[in-house]
Amino acid sequence: MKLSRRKFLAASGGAFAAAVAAANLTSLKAVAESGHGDAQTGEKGEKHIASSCEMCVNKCGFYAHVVNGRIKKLNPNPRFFKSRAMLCARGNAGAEEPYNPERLKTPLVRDGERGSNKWRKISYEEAFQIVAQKLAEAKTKYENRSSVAFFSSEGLQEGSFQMLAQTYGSLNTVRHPSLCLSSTIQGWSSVYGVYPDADLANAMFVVMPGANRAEALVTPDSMDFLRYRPKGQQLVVLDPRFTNTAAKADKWYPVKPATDMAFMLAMINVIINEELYNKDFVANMTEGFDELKAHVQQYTPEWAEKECEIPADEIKWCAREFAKYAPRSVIYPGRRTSWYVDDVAFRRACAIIPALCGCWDVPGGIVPKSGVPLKNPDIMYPFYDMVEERLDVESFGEFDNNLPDDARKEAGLPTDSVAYLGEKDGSWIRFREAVLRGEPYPVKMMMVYKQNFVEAAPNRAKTLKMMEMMDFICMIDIQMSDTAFYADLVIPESTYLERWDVVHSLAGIWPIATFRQACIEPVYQTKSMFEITGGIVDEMLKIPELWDDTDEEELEYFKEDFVEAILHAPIQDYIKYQVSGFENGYEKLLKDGVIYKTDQGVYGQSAKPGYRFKTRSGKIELTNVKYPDKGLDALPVYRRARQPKDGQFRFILGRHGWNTHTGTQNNEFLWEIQKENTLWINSKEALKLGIKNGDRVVVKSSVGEQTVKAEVTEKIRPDCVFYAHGFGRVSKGMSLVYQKGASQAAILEDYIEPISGNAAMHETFVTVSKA
Amino acid sequence: MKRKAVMALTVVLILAFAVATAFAAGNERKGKRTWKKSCRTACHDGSQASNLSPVSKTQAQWKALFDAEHAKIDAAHKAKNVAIDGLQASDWEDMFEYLKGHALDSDQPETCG
Repeated sequence: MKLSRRKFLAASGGAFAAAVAAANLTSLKAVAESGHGDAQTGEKGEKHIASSCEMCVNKCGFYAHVVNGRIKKLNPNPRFFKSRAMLCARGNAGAEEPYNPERLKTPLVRDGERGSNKWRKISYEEAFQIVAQKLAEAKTKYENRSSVAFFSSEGLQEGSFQMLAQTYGSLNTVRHPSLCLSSTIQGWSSVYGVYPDADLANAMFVVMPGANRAEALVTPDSMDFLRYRPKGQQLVVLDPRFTNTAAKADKWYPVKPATDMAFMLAMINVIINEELYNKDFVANMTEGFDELKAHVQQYTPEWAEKECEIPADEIKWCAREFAKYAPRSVIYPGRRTSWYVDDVAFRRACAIIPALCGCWDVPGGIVPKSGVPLKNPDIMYPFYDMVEERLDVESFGEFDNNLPDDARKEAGLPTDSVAYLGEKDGSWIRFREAVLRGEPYPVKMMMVYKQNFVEAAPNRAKTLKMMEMMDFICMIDIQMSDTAFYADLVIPESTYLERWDVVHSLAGIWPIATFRQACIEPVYQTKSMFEITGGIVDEMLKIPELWDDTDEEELEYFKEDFVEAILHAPIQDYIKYQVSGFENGYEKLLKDGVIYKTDQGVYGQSAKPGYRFKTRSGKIELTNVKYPDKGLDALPVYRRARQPKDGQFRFILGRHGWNTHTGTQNNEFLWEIQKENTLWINSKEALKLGIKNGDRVVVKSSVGEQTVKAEVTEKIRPDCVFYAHGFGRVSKGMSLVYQKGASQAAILEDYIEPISGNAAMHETFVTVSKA
Repeated sequence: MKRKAVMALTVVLILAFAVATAFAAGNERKGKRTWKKSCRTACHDGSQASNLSPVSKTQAQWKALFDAEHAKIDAAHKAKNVAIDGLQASDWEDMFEYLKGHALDSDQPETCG
């Protein structure tokens, strides 16, 4: 039998290297030897349990080594080919989570002013009763179920939380994408109809605008570009910061912020005018080439050089190399793309380049995601009378502070709505604005599952003001996050090592499905979101006024088909149903932690002539067909962004390898790596301001200020400053990072990319001075 | 399943209720309900008829099916001797709004997670 490259990597080098790296971490020794936590277990013996990680979004597979009922170590799962059988240091540090001394252990109800950190312990049963009663009060008082907003973060238990939202009937669900990647999804989908992946394992020429895969880990991309890139692969990175990804690149262009689109448009100009594009592919698979060709004539490399400060010759080189290696060339789509208010147009420009060169659905190109076929029940929730449309779909007049005062404001972008709003995701910034206005109806209660918007959303002061308007806030999390800190009721969830989670297909070029099984018993008798939903729904069913605006017969169906058949059944039954299309699927999951159809890359399904893309025209749209209907540009138009004046800096964001968003900074082992963040400031600018390395400085924007230590460096352009996410926290329940370093949310202004509804987080200008 | 066995008899009552929902927030929401109850879970989950969801067709294809007072749909069901008489005119309009709004080439964006 021929051993595939992937199997080989999984079975040998990748797993071995990851295991060696993991074994050298002091944190793992600490888990095994420190006796972390005070809970005792009566369990005896040793076992290895397959499950998946929740320390970031990648859900990498592992085998938990459990000794006497306690996690000793997490080892990478050699069958988890999506991560190339790797479990990173952050994933290894997850072994600390169940034993973290500050994790939430019991439901807490507020016993003082909001934010006073005064709590009273209650039972889960009491917590469920309180939630059900508050939901009933909201429904009775406002006669509109949408007056309760349901915020959630992604994860294998998010579906359980959405079950609760749909049981209650509110249409106001607000998910994470509009604080993350809505604009890249919209931009790439406007060309291909889908948000595709880039095949870094096989690409020969890679342009990465802004993405930082060496630190902001996304599997398999991070592993492929760091370890398994093909010999001769060239990597070009555009980033105002010299990130670790830039350090690994063949070329680093310190692009002037907000001008990346000029670089891409000039690449298109060269590819078209030098006839480097794939003529057959363009003729057969795309729509609107002639319009694009005419449009980009204005965007010469010489023009672009003046905008983006990347030499014209470099732009030409990039375009020619891209075309030379096509179809094994990619512009990397990226993930957290909440940068600028014209981000969708920029992503469109990125997406057009591989389409011109035929780099579509082939090894080394841009490839649509494939999934693992799973079965999921069609749950029929009751149909309620008292439900109003989502809050962020209506037009409420121009919002304050949402588009900067520059040429982009004249681009026909909507100022009072979102052009393409995700009906389940919503737009976080727009939603908050609508809540603050209280129009057209009040939202007065929040149910929140792990979304720490106090630190994740720009303009923290505004977020706290919104929370002050609430009659009741319930937070479900594993730790006292900043949002939990200002809640009225906090319900602990079991950590991912203590609970069962449903199966999730991780779509991509190498689709794989994973799930979670409890590796250990809950250390503090906590519950999963699935169990929490079940408990709350049971209490809701005891309150007649919660069900008086639906049909009795439908309610009976709901009780029978959902409450009894799903919520009251073990979650394992749900998992078995999901994988019932696989022979011995459930048993395979328990043993291997994963399930899949093939471990080979899936290519070519949409590269066939006649394939219908999910666009309006059915083809790859170089010129978008439907955008003009909403007054939007059919082609990416460059409009000059404002730039910081003397004494100002653009505040830019970025990620690193050891923390995920705001979720892991209070993990003791990760905290050892970074105890507080520092402000990256260019050495020449620091000199002008009399700032030395380690000085405490005040970073001030129009919405707030923070004090932080300066890190004087050559690794950032003079017109930008940067500090990492997740510090300067306001929750006293996260003592390691409480008021340590600086918060991003406190100084970010709340601009918005209004085609996708994404927050635009690189539009804030700040001043820096010595503290 | 028990529910499927009684589905045909309850469609009329359910839809009458749906029409009477004074506070219902738009036709699309009603349409989703009608679609799931009367079509998707009754037959078109692949159990008794083709596996059909909004993304199975483009907006133009849905329109073609619903044009001429859904004559093509009527004919297809009649050919298989499946009664769909319980649906009111407004139900068809609601369903069309939902299916069009979530069609293969609709404005509804892809999501994450």
